[in-house]
Amino acid sequence: MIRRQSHWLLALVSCLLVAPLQAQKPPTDLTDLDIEEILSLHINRETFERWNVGYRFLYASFDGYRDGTDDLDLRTEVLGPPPQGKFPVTPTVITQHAHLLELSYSATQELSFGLQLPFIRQSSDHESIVVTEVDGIVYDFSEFNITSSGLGDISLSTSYLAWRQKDRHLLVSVGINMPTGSIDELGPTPRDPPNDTLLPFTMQLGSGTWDLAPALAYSGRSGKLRWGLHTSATLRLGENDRGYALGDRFSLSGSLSGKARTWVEPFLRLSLQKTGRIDGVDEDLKVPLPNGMLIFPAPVTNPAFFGGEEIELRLGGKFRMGQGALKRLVINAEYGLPLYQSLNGPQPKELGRFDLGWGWRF
Amino acid sequence: MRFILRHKCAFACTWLLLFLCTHQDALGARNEAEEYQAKAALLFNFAKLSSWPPEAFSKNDSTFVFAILGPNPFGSALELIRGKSMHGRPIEIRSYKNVDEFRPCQVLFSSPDSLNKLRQVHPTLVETGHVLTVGQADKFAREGGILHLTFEDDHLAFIVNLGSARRAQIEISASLLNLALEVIGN
Repeated sequence: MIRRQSHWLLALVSCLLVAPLQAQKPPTDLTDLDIEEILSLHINRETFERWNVGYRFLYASFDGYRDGTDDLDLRTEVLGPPPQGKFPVTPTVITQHAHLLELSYSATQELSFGLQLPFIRQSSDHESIVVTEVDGIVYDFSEFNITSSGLGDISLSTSYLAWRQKDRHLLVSVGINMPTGSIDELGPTPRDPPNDTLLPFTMQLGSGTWDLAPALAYSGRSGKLRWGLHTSATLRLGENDRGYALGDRFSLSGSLSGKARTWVEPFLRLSLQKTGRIDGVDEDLKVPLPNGMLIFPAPVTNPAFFGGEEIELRLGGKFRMGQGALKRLVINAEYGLPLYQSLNGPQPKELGRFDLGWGWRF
Repeated sequence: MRFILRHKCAFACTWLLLFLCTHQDALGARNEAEEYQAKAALLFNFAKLSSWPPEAFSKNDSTFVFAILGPNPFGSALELIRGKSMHGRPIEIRSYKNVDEFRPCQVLFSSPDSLNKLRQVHPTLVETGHVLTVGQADKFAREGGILHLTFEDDHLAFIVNLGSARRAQIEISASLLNLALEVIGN
């Protein structure tokens, strides 16, 4: 895989080497500009904060089921004996917590590099129709919980301010997500009590694949109002060691923000996200029926029931803390509410997500 | 087939990035400036949109003085405004290494330390002497300076202490105040 990726990695390195060599074109006599034009100039600062260290806490929760845009009733339409389109095991409430440590370095005002380390904790309540007896011991899985936690996929990225004019600029980013998150998480499922067995895709901590994450952000401002258009993708480069690849992800969003005060900048963002189905099958997630037929015991183990389309509204604000050293501290808080979900289901539907973090430049 | 498509997509994205980085002029010229040249131009425009009382000038033909007290971060950037005129008066640029050398001026760029020393030596000159005090240290305007030059992302921005400006009898136009990042002391 490394050899196959070498040519675009080479292109990326070439790009980074060439980027800082671009010529700059200052206006001839700045005093001819009016004050609004001066304020819109991008300034080549003699000193600026090159490092940014930050932390983010992400929380997302899922409850209920959906197929396409139709809500499904868990007990009558999803949970039930196979193989009549139902599943003997169903997650009910899924929560995901992620703690992200972020570090970035600006080599110039245009070029920066970033590192993100995610630590993930996931919990999933389940209902099932499975009651198993092994060696005289009855294992009742009518309700049970599984968790997984640990390091997720570390990502490296580089961003380049490719174009800017007056109050508008275009930021190009490319990230590489490394398969550092486990895809072999085990837990107490009804598949083989009392042994721990492989957890479903949703409970794994990483993708298991090297992923390319390109992004373009076009943004600008008009007075105290800022706007932006952002598009990004996560492209899986091949299959992981378990023989599957999570679906590619594409996102397009528009945002609007304004400086209400010097210390607060509220914003709203509307985004469209499309995620593909899982490509490939993890055979260890299947279970045999008494007749020998292999089935996926839960919706979240079936690779066809992943991905879909979602329109999400995010509301939040950036808060700047004050003067001195705290002047460089920015706190970000936002809440994401799904307005529309068309899921490749049956699939657990998202209730919402919360993102709280801080960043400090030095 | 899917892997090939993915691979091509990754390759195309990377080379698109390379194209954008190396051919940015094809998309449009940058609009940028060196920090202190832009600050000099901002001071020039700020003064142009402000007004001083007649008693701010000792003679009818007095020059309009931009002065720097203490360390001079502008280097030669203030040469940008030398030879121009302000409110019908030729612009003069002075640099004072210490407070003892100081002579009255209309615009004074200073560090907080130098300004405090100046206040001790000439207490009325700074507060009511029709001097537009300019600085870029944190809290410059909150500590009595009139114009604090700062940044908002990579754009110049400024904070105005309107109370200090009024005490100095310098009138700052409403259009300038509308562009301020913050107006305090109102």
